[in-house]
Amino acid sequence: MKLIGITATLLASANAFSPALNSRSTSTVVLEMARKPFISGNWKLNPQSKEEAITLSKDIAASITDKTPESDIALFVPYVFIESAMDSVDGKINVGAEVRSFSSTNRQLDMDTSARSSLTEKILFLFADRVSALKSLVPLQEPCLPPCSSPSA
Amino acid sequence: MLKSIGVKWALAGHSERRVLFGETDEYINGQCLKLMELDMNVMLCIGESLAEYEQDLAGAVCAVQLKKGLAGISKEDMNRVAIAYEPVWAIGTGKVATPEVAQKVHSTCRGILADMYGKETADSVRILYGGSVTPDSIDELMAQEDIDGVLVGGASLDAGKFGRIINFETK
Repeated sequence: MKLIGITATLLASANAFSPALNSRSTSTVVLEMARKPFISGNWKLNPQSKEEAITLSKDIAASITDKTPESDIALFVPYVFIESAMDSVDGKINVGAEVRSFSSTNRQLDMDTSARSSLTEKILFLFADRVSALKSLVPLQEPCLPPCSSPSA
Repeated sequence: MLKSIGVKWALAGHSERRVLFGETDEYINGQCLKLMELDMNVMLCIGESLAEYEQDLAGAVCAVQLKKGLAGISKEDMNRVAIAYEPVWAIGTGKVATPEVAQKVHSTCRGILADMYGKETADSVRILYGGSVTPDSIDELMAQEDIDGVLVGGASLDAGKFGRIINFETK
């Protein structure tokens, strides 16, 4: 558990009722806040069957005991197994998903695979985009698309 | 769709999607903003390639990916965001960034978040490490000051290994 000293200002709720309140005059308290550990797994496109997904989820959930460090625990699973996994972990584990696609036309996050189209063009764009962005941050001698031939150490 | 079945966390920006599906930082930013709008939590994956690592560009790449990926996300919404630093060269390769190397990048990332959102917010955001995490490396990773958790690939498909990772030991 990671403890960090955080100065919290008690003004959010107070200001809602008295906008004229000067935040500088508000008292501050120092709280010991912790970043709760977060242990997560990414199954990507595994396992191969629903039965395996259920067994795996159950076995993982069963490994959580009273002695387990207090953490957020999450599993990112393939879409088709989300509900099976949720039903198998007895509420002990967050079941999440990897965002597969985002369609700007209908503003939906869904399983649409339109991102596959013009793959080569997009990869080139990705690299070009990154290089141009990097150049604004660090002085690159030559634009160097990965993989570079001989990185200067 | 995801929200309707009770999913709270979504993963965005994984390197394999960035490379194989050509997802750009702008596209990933759109996903993050949509997830915020839906009141969901997002784990944003960032990380540099081997060439970028060898050119000492890890910090610069993370700065670009954080600033572009989180663009438009308010300080208040940052409590629904976690960052996963996954050096691309350590994903599925068996190569692990040493805990010290990972700690250094995590610390840099926290500094970038502090520039964007202030120190208090940066100190509250969890930064996870991903890339060939195993039962053998978990304890030392979790002992690092700025490593707040892990995003486990292969070992999360083995209940024994992932069970050990969940039960990490702190000294």
